[in-house]
Parts: sequence; structure tokens; C-alpha cells
Amino acid sequence: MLQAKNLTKTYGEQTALNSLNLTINEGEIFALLGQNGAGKTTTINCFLGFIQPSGGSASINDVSVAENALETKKYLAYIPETVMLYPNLTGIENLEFFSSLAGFSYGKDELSSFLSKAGLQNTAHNQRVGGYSKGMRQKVGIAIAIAKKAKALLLDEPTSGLDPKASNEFSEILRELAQNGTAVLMATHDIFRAKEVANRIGIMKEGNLVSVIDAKEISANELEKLYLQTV
Amino acid sequence: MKNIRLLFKYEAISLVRSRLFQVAIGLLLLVGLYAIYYGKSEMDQQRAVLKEIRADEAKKMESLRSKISTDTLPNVIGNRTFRLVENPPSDWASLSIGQRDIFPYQLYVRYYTLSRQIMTTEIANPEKLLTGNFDLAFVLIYIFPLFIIALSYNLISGEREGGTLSLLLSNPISESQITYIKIAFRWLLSFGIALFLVVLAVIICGIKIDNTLLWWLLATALYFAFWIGIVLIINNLKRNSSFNAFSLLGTWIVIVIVVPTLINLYLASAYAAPPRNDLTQAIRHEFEEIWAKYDDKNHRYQTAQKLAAKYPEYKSDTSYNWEDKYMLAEYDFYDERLAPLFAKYQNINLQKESVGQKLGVLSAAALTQQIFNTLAQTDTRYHYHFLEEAGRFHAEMKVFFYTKIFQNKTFKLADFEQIPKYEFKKKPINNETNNGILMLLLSVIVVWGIGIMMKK
Amino acid sequence: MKKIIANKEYTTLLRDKRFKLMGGLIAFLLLVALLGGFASYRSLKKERDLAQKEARETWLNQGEKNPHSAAHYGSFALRPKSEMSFFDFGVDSFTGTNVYLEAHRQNDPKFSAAQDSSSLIRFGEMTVAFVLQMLVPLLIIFLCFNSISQEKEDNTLKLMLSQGISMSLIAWGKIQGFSKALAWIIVPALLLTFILILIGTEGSLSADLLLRFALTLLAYAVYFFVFISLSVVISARAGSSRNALLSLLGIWVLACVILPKATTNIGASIFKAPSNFEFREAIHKDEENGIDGHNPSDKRFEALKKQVLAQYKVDSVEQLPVNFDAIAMQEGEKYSTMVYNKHFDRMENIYQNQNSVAAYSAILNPFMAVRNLSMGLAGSDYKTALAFQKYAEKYRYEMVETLNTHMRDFSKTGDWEKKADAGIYAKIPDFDFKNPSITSVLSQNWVALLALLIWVFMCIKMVSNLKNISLS
Repeated sequence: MLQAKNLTKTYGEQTALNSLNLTINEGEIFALLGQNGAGKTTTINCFLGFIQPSGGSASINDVSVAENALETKKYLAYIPETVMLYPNLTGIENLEFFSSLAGFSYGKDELSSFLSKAGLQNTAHNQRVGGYSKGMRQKVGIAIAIAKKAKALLLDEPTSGLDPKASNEFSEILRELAQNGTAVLMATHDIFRAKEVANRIGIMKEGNLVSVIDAKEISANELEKLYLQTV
Repeated sequence: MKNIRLLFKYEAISLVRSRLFQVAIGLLLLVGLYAIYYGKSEMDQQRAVLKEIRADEAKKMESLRSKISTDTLPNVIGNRTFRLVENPPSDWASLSIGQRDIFPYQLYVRYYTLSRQIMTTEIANPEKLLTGNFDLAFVLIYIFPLFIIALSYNLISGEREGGTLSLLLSNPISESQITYIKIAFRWLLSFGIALFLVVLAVIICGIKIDNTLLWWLLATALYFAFWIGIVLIINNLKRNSSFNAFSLLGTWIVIVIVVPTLINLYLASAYAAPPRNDLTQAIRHEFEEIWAKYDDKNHRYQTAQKLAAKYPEYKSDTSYNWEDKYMLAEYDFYDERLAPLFAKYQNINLQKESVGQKLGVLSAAALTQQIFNTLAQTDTRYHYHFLEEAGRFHAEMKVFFYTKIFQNKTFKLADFEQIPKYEFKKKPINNETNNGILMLLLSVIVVWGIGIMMKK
Repeated sequence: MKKIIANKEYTTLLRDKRFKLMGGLIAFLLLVALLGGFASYRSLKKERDLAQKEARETWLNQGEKNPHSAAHYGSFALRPKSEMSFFDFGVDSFTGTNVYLEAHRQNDPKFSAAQDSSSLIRFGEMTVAFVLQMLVPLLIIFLCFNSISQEKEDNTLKLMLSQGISMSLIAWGKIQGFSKALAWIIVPALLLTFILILIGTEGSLSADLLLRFALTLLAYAVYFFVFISLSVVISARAGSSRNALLSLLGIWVLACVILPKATTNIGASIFKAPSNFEFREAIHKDEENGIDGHNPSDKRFEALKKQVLAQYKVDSVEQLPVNFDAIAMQEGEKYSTMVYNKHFDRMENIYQNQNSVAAYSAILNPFMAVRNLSMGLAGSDYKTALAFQKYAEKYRYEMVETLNTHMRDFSKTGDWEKKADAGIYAKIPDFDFKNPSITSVLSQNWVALLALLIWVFMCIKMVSNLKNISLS
């Protein structure tokens, strides 16, 4: 599970993240909404250990990220806004590389099934990623996340640029992962998608987590209204 | 360990499929092969010349031998005995031609005054000397660092710009681990190719394998490690690929071109060699003096006395072959008077060379070139070693003929076989190489120290 | 419009920290190279002038002797330093500087600076020409590689084009701006060069020298223009700034490091030159057996004797009113000089052929064009060294000839004792070598001139072709 305690990040005078307290339990999907610069990506980067918090702590599975960055990375998977891969390697080779880095050794068939599960057509598996579209790369990113069997999944606007069908398939996969006990933190601009897939939704503004709503208790329209009022 | 294997594997796949790498490695192998061919053909040509002179020497000696009769005077034979004194290319010279194209590598020596025989030059095309040799040392020192730079300028920045870095780092591996594994891979790859080329050269040039090979490879390995260290420093500045490419090439220019030329400029002005006017004038003037006093009986007598005082065994008996003995005595003093002038210029140059070697620590390229030249025995120092050998051999010839002439002996057929013959002796590799390697190691340590410190 | 772009580039460049740093470094190297080169030029010139003077004095004051002994005593010819050689050392360091002129022997020039240098000389010599040829192009690449690609990446290019300016106009503006900024580094160095030339010649600047300097300026201006426009064009055509930089650096390495060495060495591999031993042996053989192989020296001697006896209508050499030894020596001298010149020309021809490979590569490689032109104009190229060597040999021959003729007329055959009075030595003129004229330099380097011309046209064409570039 993911936990932030008084997580703070300042850049000089600027406060990017202000005393964030957040716990995402196993099997839970948490969506973060907010304008650009509200602190969503900073939160994710703190969990990833890419940036050192100025105060408080982020922990995964009760292991502090700042102190044991390499240890925590074993438990998490990450899908960035645009998944970039090695253009000279095929889809399957990229997947093999990253899952091997994570300590798994899968056979070709298994790797292929991960890609299929992520929605990548079979013909593309052995093509070089250099010729992939953004959506196809995104799917490889999803496959990498699935293959890692992570306890925590961090997503930074994963559906931006995906067509509605692919977006929908992606939501399916997220639900499935959550059912298997993964804690998911997803930063997004897509209010509709957030409402549909998340258990809880947080709205951020200027580094503060302003409100947290149970997704079941709000309609998409109400959420949009709330969002517009908040930001 | 598993990560190392994994990254190596995928780096290799990525590289092999990259167009830049395919072009770079093709070019590298091409210039490497050409350099081996070029160095071999240049040195083979020098060997062929030496062989030709050897044959000429044998022919001349054979015809001289046929002229020996019962009352042949030793000076008659001595005057016509030309011996080849050679500085044949070492096995490794084909890989690092060094200064061999600038200095003469053979002399035809008689027992006469050495001073008038030693100042030969080898004719050469100056434009070719100016541009220098395309030998394997050039490829290793100039081109390989460029190859390393082409492979490493985007070591991490490429991942960052390509967007893969974040995905990579979301895995249990740190950036510095990735950096070290990647540069180790590049070092191994470049060294592997260099090793291949060197081994190929050893086979093609028929080089006898001894510890020179180990020294050569050690110098290469350290030189590449130096460049990998530079890559580490630039990489740890964490700037974009363009910046890295430019800084790396800038460093290449400073290390490979600017610093050596500045050292040379300094040496040329601090230890300027005058135009040897005094030497050329003295060589002519002193010789003129000998002839001017040729008819002065008193002077002749005194010169003979002086020689006898110097070497009791060359006591002149004026009744027999007196003119020749006088000239031989004069030759000895002639060489003696000129020796300090020769020594003066030799010392200036050797001093310059040793200061240059010390200043070489400022540029790994200069150091490595000096190590290669020392190993291949194609450096300036070795040329002076050759001149010393020529002097030693000349002294041997002189003793042989002077003894016979001053003892009024006739020259027998049996004596003919006793005429000293020059045999080239290879000088063992000395601690100059050790010093060079140590200095190179030092610069590797400094560069890596800076690189690792900057990591923080 | 062009001016606006040029001014923008110029002012941003001047404010650019990288430009200040790199430009400062190059300016510093130029200064070091200039002062170092000039100091060494001055000391070499002084030494050689002094040595030549001393050679002349010892020649004039050698005292009364038999003319042939005087010819054996001989003299020295020292290669004078060209006035502009401090700017570009060319092959000066690799050619002999001192020729011993004596009877019967054509000596090679001895003592090249390279033999007296540390082996580091093989890395190149820090001269102004070296900095201008090798390092300034790199500065240009550094400044221009992202000149258009960056604007593409930032989408400012589309903005500019939408204002109705053509792509080639933008490129011309940039070229103009870069040239202006670059001038801040190059012009002071060249101005200082000019001042040093004035100091070196003590103000007596000849029209020839002025023209050489002006043409040198022009050659480098063209060279820099080629690099600037090439960089801008590649920047416009490359997919990204990074690709532009990589391509340009690749071109630089190829043009300035690999090709010059490769072409020169390939030339030497194709046209095999004889070694000194082979060269001397061939001469020796021709002298012995006659140039056609059927005219050995003793036969030639007999024929000469017969001819001279017939000419003076006497029966034996003793009856001759002139010294037959001198006649015979002069004939020998004439013959050996003819043989020597034949072989020398043959070898020189081989060297020219070797060098022509590199010279023709100038069509592909502007570096080679400017290198050859620059050292030709500076009077430090191979051809100038060759002219010196030929001049020295001619001087030697005339010196020996004068003395032999004198000996022929003033003494009888077999008289080696009669001494000529010392006045005869002054009949031999001073050794006064002058560099080949500028017209011969230009005609020898026509390939380089043509290459630069082609490159200018190609660059202009490439820049104007940018009109048709498509922005994806």
C-alpha cells in the first residue's frame, strides 16, 4: 500500500506539495485530479523516489521511499504520461528487458500474453518500437506494469492520448489489477474516467489535497462541478 | 551481477541495430585495417631498403676480398670497407612508426673519421612528414576516443531525452548503477575492438609475442579508461546530449590536439636548437686544417707523438706508410675535437625529449603516443641509441684497422673474416615505459576521482 | 528583413556565455600561436641570416689557395625564413635548412626542425594557421549547429515563416549575423598578424607580400563562409539539433583529421618513392656507365681529351696552354650535375604525384584547399622548399664552374700548387634565394583555388535551395 505522511516539497519560495496525508490500501484505486502544477506529478515522483521530499515521508509497503529507494522500487510499477521505449528493440524485447530488471524471467509466450492482455495486437509484438504509435507504446507500458506484479501502481495521466476504446480497455485492466490486491495511484485530467474507475478521488490545488470523495457517492456531473469550484 | 548481464545484453542489441553504430564500427574497422596495412608497408619498405644495402655491402666486400694478395696493405682494404650500420624496424614499429620517417635508419660506415659519416639524412616527402603516419597508434590515440565519444555522449541524457529514464528508474536499479554498467560496457567494447585490431596486426605483421604485447594492451586499456573517465565527468554534469557531445569533443581537442601542440611550442622555444652553424663550420674548418698542415713535417711528427701518447699501441714508425698514419692520427683528434659539439646538440634534444615526457602528463594522448613509440622503439631516444651503437661499431672498426696499420702488418685473407661486422642488438624495454604507464595510470585515477566525486 | 535577423543573431551571440568562453579560448590560442610563432620566426631568421653571413665571410676570407681546393672548401646555403612563415609553418619544420655546397657532391639539406623537436611535433604545431584551419571551424559548428533546428524545435520558425519571410532569407540573415560575431575573434588576430609582418619586415612591405596577405585573408574568409553556411544548411535540414551537431562534428573529424592524413598516405602508397640509398645508387650508376648505360666515365674522359687536343691543335695534354685537369673536372661536374638533376627531377615528380592525391581531395575537402593555399602563400610549402633546393644546387654548380674555369685559364695541366688570389672568391655572388613569385604559387595551387570557388557556389546554392524545404 501507498502512504504519504505530511509529505512536503518546496522549491525555494514555491511550495509544490504541502503536507500531504494520504493512504491508499491494497486493492484500492485512487485518482488525483487537479490543474497543471497542482502537485499531482510531484506526489507521484515522491513515491517513485525521483525527488527528495522537503518534509514528511512517502512509503510503500511501510518502507520509506527516501531511505530505501531501491527496495521500494521492487514493489511498484509506473506508467508515465507518454511511455517511451527503446526504439531499436521490439515490443517483446522491451518488455523482457524491463521485467528482467524487475527481477522476473518470463518465457516468450508469457511475455506475449502480457502484451496481448494489455491490448497490443499480436502482429506488433515482434516489431521494433520505433514504428509504434503512442497508444501502442502505452500498451507496452501497461504490459510492463502487469508483468511486474507490483503491489503499488503509479500512473501519471496514463490515458491521455488514448482513443476511447483503448481507454476503456485500460480501465478494465486497472480494475483487474486492483482486484488482485494492487494499490493504484493515478493522476489524471479525465474526470469521467476517474469517476468510473477509481474508488476514491482527490482534488488538488496549489500543492494541497483539498478534498477527497468516495467515487460511489458522486455522479460525474457533480464531480465536474465540484472540480470547477475547487480549482 | 544479473543487472550487468541484462544491461550488457540489451545495450548490445540496441547498438548493433543503431545506424550510427553500424557506420561507426564499419569506419573504425576500415581505418584500423588500413592503418595496419599502411604501417606494415612502410616498415617493409624500410626493411627492403636495408636488405638491398646488405646485398650491396656483401657484393662490395666480395669484390674487395678477391683483390687481396700476399702484400696487400691494411689501409687499402680499410679504405674500401663500408659496413652497413642499421637500425632495423622493430616488430612493433609497423604499429607505431613514430620518428622513424624523420631520422635516417642506416649508415655506411668506414674506419675513417666518424664525424664526416654520421650526418646523413633520409630523403622524404615533407608534405607526408607534415601530415604524419596513419598507423595503428594514430587510430588508437585519435580515432578510438572519438568512437568512445560517439557511443557515450548520450549515455544517460539519451535515456532522459528518449523518455525511457523514468521507466528505467521505476525499477530497482539506481542511476549510478546504470551509468557504471553502461560505461563498463563501452570500455569493454572499445577495448575489445582494439584488442581485435592489435591481435590482427600481430598476426599480419608477424610480430613475435613477448611482454611488449602486454605493455601495449595495458597502455591501450588505460588510455581508454581515461576517456571513459572523461565520459563519466561530462555525464555527471547531467546536461543534454548536445552539450555532452560538444564538451566531449572539446575535451578531445584539448587533450589530443591543443595540449600536445602547446607543449611542443613551449619546448621549441625553451630548448631551441640553433642551426648548428658552429658544428657545420667546425666540421669543415677542422678538416681544412688537417690538409693545410699535411706538408708540415714537424706538425706531422708531433701529431704522431700525440697519438702514441694517447694510445701506446699506435706508436708511429715513420719509415713505413707514414702519410696514412699521420692522417689516421689526425682523424682521431678530429673526431675528438668535434665530439663535444655533437654531444651538445644530442643533449639538448634528449633533454627536450625528457621534459616533453614529463609534461606529457598534461595529455593522456601525448603520454600514450610516447609509450607506444618507446615500445616500438621508434622514438627520438632510440635514434640516439642507434647513433651510439654506430659510434661503438666505428670504434671497433677503427681498432681493427689502426692496429694492423700502425703495426705495419700486411692484410691476409684470413684477416678478411675478422673485419668487424655490425650486428644490431635490440635494446631491452626499460623503465621509460614503466614511468609512462604510471603517469597514464595517474591521469586515469585523477579523471575517475573527479568523475566519482561529481556524482554527489 | 535580413538585417533584422542578422542583428538579432549577432547580439544574442555576443551575449551568449558559451560564445564568450569558446571565443575567448580561441582568441587566447591565436594570441599564443601568433606570439610564439613570431618569436621563433625572429630567432630562426636571425640565426640563419647570421649563419649565411658567416658562411659568406669564411668563403671570402679562406685565403689564397688552389681554386679547386676552394671549391672543395665550399660554402653553405641556409634556407631563409619567409616573412609570413610565422603565420603558417607549413612544411618548414620538416625540410632541411642547411646545404653544404662543395665540388663533386650534391648534398641534401640537413637539420630539419623536426629532427630537433620532441616527438610531440607529430601532433601538429600551434600556429595561427593551425587554429584557423582546425579550431575555428569547430567554433563555427558550435555556434551554428542549432541555429535553425532550435527554432524548428521551439516552433518559432513557423512563426517567422508565417510573417512572410523565406527560409533562405532567414538563413542568409543568420549567416551574416554569425560572420559578424566571428569577426570579433578573427579580425584582431589578423590585424596583429599584419602588424607583426610590418615589424618583421621593418616596415619595408613589398607589394608581393601585401598581395600574399590579402589573398590569405580571402582564402580564410571563404573557408569560414563555407563552414558557416554548411552549418546553417545542415541545421535547417537536420531532424533535430542533436542530429545537426552530430553530422557537423562528423564532417569536421573527417575533413580536418582523417581525410588529410588518409589522402596523403594513400598518395605515398600509390607512388612509391625511392630511398636515399636507391636514389644515390642510381646516380652513381649513371655517372659510372653514362646516362644511356653505354658511355662509361673513362670513355667519356678519353673523348674529352681527344676533343680538347684537337681544339688546341696539340698532341699531348702537357702541350696545352690551359689546365686540362680543370677542363676534365668541369666536364665531370657538368655530367654529374646533369645526372643528379635527372634523378632529382624524377624523384621530385614522384613527390608531386604523391601530394597531388591530397591536393585533388581539396575538391571534396575545403580544409585541404585552405591548408595548401595558406602555406603556399606563406612561403612555407613544399614547392618553396623545393625551389630553395634547386636554387642551392644551381648556385653550387656555378660556384664550382667559376673556379674550374679560372683554374683552366691560369695554370697548366698537373699544376695543383698554383694559388689563385683571394679576389676570385668575390666573383661568386652572394647566396640570395628569393621565394617563388605569387603568380607561381597561385598556378601551383590552382586546384585549391578552384575548390574554394566551387565550394562558395555550392554553399550559395545550398542556402538558396532552403526555400524548398518542407516543415513537417
